[in-house]
Amino acid sequence: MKLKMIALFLAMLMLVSVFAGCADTTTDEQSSEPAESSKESSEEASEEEGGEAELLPNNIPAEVLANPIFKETPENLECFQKTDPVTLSVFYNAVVADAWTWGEDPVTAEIQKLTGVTIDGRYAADSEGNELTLMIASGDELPDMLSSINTTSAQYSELVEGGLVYPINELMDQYAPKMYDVLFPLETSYYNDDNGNFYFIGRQAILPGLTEYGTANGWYAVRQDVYEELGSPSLSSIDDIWNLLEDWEASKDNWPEIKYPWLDPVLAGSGNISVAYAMLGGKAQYSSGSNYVYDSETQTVKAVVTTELGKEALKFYYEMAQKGYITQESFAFTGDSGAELSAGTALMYAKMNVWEVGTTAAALAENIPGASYSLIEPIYAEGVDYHYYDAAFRASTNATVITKNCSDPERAILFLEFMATEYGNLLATAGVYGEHWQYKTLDNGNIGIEYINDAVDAAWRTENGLYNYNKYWFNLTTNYDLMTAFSAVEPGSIKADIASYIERNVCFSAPNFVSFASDSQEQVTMTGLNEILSTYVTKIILSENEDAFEANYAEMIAALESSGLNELTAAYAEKCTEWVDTLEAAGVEFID
Amino acid sequence: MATKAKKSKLLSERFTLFDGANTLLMLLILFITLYPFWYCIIVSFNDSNDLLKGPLYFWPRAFSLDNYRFVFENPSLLSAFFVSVARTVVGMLLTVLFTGAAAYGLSKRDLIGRKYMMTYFIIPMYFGGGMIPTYLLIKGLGLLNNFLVYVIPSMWSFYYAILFMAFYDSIPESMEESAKIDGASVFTIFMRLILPVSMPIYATIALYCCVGQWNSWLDTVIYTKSESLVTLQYIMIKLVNEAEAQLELQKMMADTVTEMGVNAVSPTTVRVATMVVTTFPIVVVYPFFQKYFVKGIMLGSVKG
Amino acid sequence: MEKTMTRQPQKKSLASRFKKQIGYQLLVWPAIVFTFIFSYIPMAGIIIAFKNYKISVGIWESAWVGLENFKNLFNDFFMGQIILNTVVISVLGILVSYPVVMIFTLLLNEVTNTAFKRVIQTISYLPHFISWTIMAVILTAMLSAHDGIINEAMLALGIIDSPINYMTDPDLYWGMVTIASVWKELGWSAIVYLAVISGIDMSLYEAAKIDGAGRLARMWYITLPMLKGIIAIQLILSFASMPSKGFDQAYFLANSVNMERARTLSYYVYNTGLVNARFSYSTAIGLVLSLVSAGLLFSANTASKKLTGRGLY
Repeated sequence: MKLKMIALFLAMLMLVSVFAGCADTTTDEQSSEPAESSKESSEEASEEEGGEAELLPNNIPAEVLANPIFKETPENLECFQKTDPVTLSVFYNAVVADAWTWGEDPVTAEIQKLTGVTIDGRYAADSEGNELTLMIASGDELPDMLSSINTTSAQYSELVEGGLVYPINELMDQYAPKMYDVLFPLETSYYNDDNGNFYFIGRQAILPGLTEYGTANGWYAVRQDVYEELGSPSLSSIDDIWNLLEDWEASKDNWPEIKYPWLDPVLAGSGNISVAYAMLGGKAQYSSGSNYVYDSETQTVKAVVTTELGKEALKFYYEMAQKGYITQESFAFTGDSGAELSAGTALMYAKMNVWEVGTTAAALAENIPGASYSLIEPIYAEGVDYHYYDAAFRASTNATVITKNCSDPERAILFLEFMATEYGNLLATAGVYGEHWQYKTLDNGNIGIEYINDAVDAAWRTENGLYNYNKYWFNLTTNYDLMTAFSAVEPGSIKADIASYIERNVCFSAPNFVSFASDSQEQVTMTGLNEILSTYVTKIILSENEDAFEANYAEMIAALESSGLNELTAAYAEKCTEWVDTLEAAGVEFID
Repeated sequence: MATKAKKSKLLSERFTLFDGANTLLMLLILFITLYPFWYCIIVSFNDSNDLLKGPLYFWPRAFSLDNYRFVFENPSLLSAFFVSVARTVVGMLLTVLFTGAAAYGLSKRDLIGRKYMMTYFIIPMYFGGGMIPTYLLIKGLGLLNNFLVYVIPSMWSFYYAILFMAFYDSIPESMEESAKIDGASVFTIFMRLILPVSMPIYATIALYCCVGQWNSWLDTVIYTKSESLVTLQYIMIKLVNEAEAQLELQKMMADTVTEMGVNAVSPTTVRVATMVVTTFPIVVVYPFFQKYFVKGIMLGSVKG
Repeated sequence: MEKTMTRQPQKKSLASRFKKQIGYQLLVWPAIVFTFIFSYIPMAGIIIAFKNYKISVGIWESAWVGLENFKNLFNDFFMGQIILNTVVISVLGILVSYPVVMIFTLLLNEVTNTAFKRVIQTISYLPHFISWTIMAVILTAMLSAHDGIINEAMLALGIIDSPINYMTDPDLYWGMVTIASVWKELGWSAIVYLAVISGIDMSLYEAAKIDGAGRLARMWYITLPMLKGIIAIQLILSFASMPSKGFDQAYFLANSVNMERARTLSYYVYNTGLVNARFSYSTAIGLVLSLVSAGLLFSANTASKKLTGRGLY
């Protein structure tokens, strides 16, 4: 025993001494001011004071400058005053298919030409964020910029709290004041901390969550052949849905492959009742799948399932299950809609992804001759008006930061300024003007764009450097995604009313846009609650009878409350109220 | 099979009912275990879009080499292959010899301090500091971005040592005694006597090491940066992740309703093709190790 | 069969005894140093579990929070279910797989045609290499209530009149998972046992046969006892790795319907967001799991020693 003690003690001694040596692994606190440079004065040459011969005009095609779709480009932007070649290193915290070499495709070549910037990019090997974590932990040199950072992640807060990244506003103040006019107001005022600093430029800063069926994933799909054989009945109300399902049931043996009469992928995947909730009139869920709703009058947050309408939605699903339209097997649905669509296993499929119907049509037709799916407008309860457009902020999951290590912070911010301009965005999403796309006037008189090349597909995009635009570019707003989406399609086939979208700047579903830091107590509670929700929602829906339904429902409420629901909703309410205030200050109308 | 068995008997026995039943059982097991692997092979040779139409059973429906093309198009594949082979061979040798030798010493029950050593070795099997402290250590030792990081940290495994010790226990003491009397040193006994006799366990552990080294990829992600240290497995995992990323991307590109990259290679088939390519070398290598198990039998029959 | 180095009386002093076994000591000490460097030094990082670790601040400077990280885990609503599932799945796995593997090993050993034997052995370990993603695909194709092969066959043969929900029925989850795991690891687990068997002296079998012992008798009295040691060790180790069991299967086979039987400790911990770099929390969980494993190891080892006279250490 004695020997053991001595050995242990010696071991401890050795341990401590070794550690005294390699303890210093922390990064030193770096000064938070970028050094004032003397060239600052020439950079900040007065903008509108008449033609200073020094200032270069915006190096953007004249037609683009003359036809702003979403925003005008200020004159003599700083990013065009300095265009000598420079290379900036970036680490993307995301897995990239076909990582491309900057400069070898038309788009990046164009950016190089206009700004002089070459990006030396490195990508993550997995989606766990290990590499980023270790980069921060080991005090190794961070690259000039980091992109695809999730701003709700612990790594992001580490970067900020550790003083490892520049406040973007400081760089803008110093090198690119006109960038304030390039970015949307919300982008520069929403994420500010108490000192007025914000540390990232995000993608999807403004998310147009179109709730009219013009959105890419709000449609319903129905087996067209079955529908026709059943007499093509009307399908525009909830009662119509019941009728169709009953008609189908009567002769369901004709279509043995159908195992999901009603397939609700959100429900099956995560016990989320937002589809039914929206159908019954729950506005907030039009654009979100959040489990919570905010009431701006009482400034409170509630879990959807605890509201009256929420219980109604559960009842709706319960009745579906009673009739066998939702089965135990529905909950085992893996989310691979491609597989289900190709096999024709669903009669009605709610909340579809538009393109999947197209991509699987051929496979389905081969599998089951004559079978096909059609897209129909989502079905809502009587009197529910869902024609709103939702234009609001989402906590960014794809942010770009400039690290204190950056060899040239000035060029870095100028680069981001360029990418934030309308042309920069269009370059990233649609390509080079005149080579890939041109302007076109839409039916409603607004300006849109169209591709010059008819055969725009994945291969074309890769070849032209557009393949990665959605995730791994510095794409700073996504208004343009939809712009290109709808302009490439026959106007009229998808009724996207872009003009009215621009005019009405409304938002709802606060909880969808407010989130807690990933290592906060609230997030811990929320994760636990989600687990309870998903388990109980399934149980409730599959209840044997009404008594069981009520019993399970009560059990769920009790379980939620005993696991911190009330504390969470209180904290949530505070954050949502704050957010709504910010929105309204920026001119966005909040409707709940 | 029955006649062959009768003729090639080592111990001149009749082929009994027992043997018959046993053979049938084995054939059944063969089928059950072989089928899923066969399934993977046919899926990997099948066009990925065709797979959406429904499951395959015994043969590819739309033969296609696209999945393998996707895999082999990777330019760094060849060098990665060599790196993988290198780390497998070197890592295996280092681990087997280091652990095997230390386990021999540890197997001696009257080794002074043995009890404490056992406890000392067991503790790290369950407690560890985690990814960050380990990373800092590796960095401190200068092993970052160095081939040695693949083979040195895994040189000792107490789990393998346990298996070695279990085997050593079955070696008759008398053998070592007689060698000792002849004046042989511990080293000589180990090399000349123990090693040859322990071939079965060495072959087993060697196999485990090879598989472990061959399949490992996280260390490549965390500890290396340069292209020259990339392993086959790392490329494979990246390929699968990238294929998934590609699919994700297509889902988000809503530019047309109809055509959406129908030619893409879906993750399922890529995953399966990847699995086939990475498992294939191991499967090929294993029979080689099996020979040493058999050798053990031979040696055993000569002994005693 | 205890191994000793000499038969001389152990009255000598520690120093001289040490000198006598210096050869063996020299074999072991490098491993001790190695373990110290690679296992014990990083172990100091465990204190992260008791701190609010911030990467940029570093291990030493981060603030202490005591047991707060542990509280979150144990306060969970589902903790009871989690523990039950973890224990049941592990125990069931051990109870089913050991006999099956042993029987397989013994029977395989009895196959007389060495070529056939080699083929079986080689093929039997292949399922080990199939990742659980593929397993999930295969299981779905076979067990799906709607069009899985097994249900179709059983319906056609009239054994059942409506399909069985293998994939979603909570009551079937434990069984399904156990069988799938056994099938996957059968051949691979057998490798070690076969290696030990192949080291058994053939003359023992010859002698037994001459004495009139039949096949089964030879298996029972010669082969099995030789394996006692390795079986005991494997059992102890399996038992001790209980807390981490059930993850792969749950990841692919669990859904909201069978979740109450599927949530095991390791799966649950993963699910509740370890991926988000919550280091303190995940280290705390890891520590708890380790303590439980170590406790299990200790008790299993003690039990084994009491029952069979041999243990891990």
